[in-house]
Amino acid sequence: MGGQGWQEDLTFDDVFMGVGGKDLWNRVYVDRDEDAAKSEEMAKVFETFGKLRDLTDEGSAGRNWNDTTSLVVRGKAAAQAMGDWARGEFVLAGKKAGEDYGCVPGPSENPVLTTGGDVFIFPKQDNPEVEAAQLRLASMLLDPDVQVKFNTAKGSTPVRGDVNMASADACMQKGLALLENDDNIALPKNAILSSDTDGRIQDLVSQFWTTPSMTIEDVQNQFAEILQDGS
Amino acid sequence: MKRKTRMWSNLSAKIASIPMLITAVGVFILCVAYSIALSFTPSRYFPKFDFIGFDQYIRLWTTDRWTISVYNLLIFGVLFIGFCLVIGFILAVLIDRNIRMEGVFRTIFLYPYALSFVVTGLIWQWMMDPALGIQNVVRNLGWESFNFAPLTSTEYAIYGVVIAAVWQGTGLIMCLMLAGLRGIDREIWKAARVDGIPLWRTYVFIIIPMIRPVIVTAVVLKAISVVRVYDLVVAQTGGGPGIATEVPAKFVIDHFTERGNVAIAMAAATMMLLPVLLLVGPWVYNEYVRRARA
Repeated sequence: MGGQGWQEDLTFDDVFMGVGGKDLWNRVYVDRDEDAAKSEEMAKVFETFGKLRDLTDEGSAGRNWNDTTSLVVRGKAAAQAMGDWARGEFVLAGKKAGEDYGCVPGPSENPVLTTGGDVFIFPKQDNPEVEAAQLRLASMLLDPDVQVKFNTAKGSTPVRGDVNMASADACMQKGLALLENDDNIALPKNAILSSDTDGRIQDLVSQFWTTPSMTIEDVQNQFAEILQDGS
Repeated sequence: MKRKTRMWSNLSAKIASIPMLITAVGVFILCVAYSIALSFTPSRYFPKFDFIGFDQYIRLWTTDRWTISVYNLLIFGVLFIGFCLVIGFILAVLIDRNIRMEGVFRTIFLYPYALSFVVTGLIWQWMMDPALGIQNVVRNLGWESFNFAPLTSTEYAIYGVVIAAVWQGTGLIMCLMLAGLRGIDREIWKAARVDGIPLWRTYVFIIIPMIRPVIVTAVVLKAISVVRVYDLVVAQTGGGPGIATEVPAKFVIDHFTERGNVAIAMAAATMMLLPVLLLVGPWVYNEYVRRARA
């Protein structure tokens, strides 16, 4: 793992989903259930996350995600918890999904996909010509053919369910299969929490990760407090 | 009548200083006042003027990341200024002993100062990387147990930042000190030699007090760069590992931008302004107000 706040946070999310499951995730983040945040299950999430510290190398601190991906590509690291964007590094190195490398959603018995994406926003304006151009760009972006080509190249899942993704590679097929059942989909926490609260949790997770002396009880209390306090 | 002539005297000079006056009042006083006012509100991305008292300050001082930032700034400030002064002075003294190729050495020592903090941060990030940097080189030379990777440890990372900053900032101090040393009358050296005072005592008890104004300038210059240190940390450690090398300026900027919490950012900024005012206030009073009266 690359030791930057957001990467530590991403791995924490993975562990949370894998160990705690989607129910606990929703109770803690969506319902803001204080008992859930202080529960035994949540303690187990932090405990498991803490144990992963031993699996990183000495050069982890401050390393960029793509430098870390390159360690996996070159066979110097076994695995990395990352999103679909890491696939670009593998493609660039000429590696094939399912043959040279594999993907595991989770790792969990009931893997869950948190969905996320980027948006295009057009500022409001009055010129009809510009509006026509905006409409053309928007139609092009959501065109089935474009969706297939773009997502096959990037390794992500399409934003509409009615396109034929037969060209997807082994890694993407796993994600697409998960998408078919709504039970496997959850909101990422940056879509649930305000960026302020999300950031405080990231700080806490990052501090816990780099401070092995921090107790589970301490981190869990702070975690619950932030969720009660913030929006 | 007399008053009127006074008001209109030096008219062009007064007109010329209007832009500066607007900047001073507009940027410094109004913006600072606005920032302080925001720190007492629950503003997020946009200002919202419901006054909630000291809530933001209470949250600020109960946040680990802020207290660690303040503590880091103290360590960084003391060590950075201290080492810059000591090393800068020693280098200046060595150069002042009429060594050969003085120009070459002066350029070498001053060169890091030409680099921005961002470049400095990146260079030292690589130097201190356990797998790429100094540690790896020394280990490959045969010293297997050699350890030098401060940035990987939460305890020592801030000292890694200090090393990079000292490397970058010492050259300027050396130049200032050298200018001060060159300004000292040669007669004083002769007198000290006639009296048989040892060289080190001449430096410590005669020369240093004489270049005091230079030292004060150096401390003020460095103190300013300490309070606003941001880019070095962002480039070198990103505040990590964890939150071990966070600094107040980074706290303010992060909360102001990506965290979308303007109010707490302004509370933190106000806390950064406070010590500056406490230090600068008495000094300004001493230098200008009291002297003008005397």
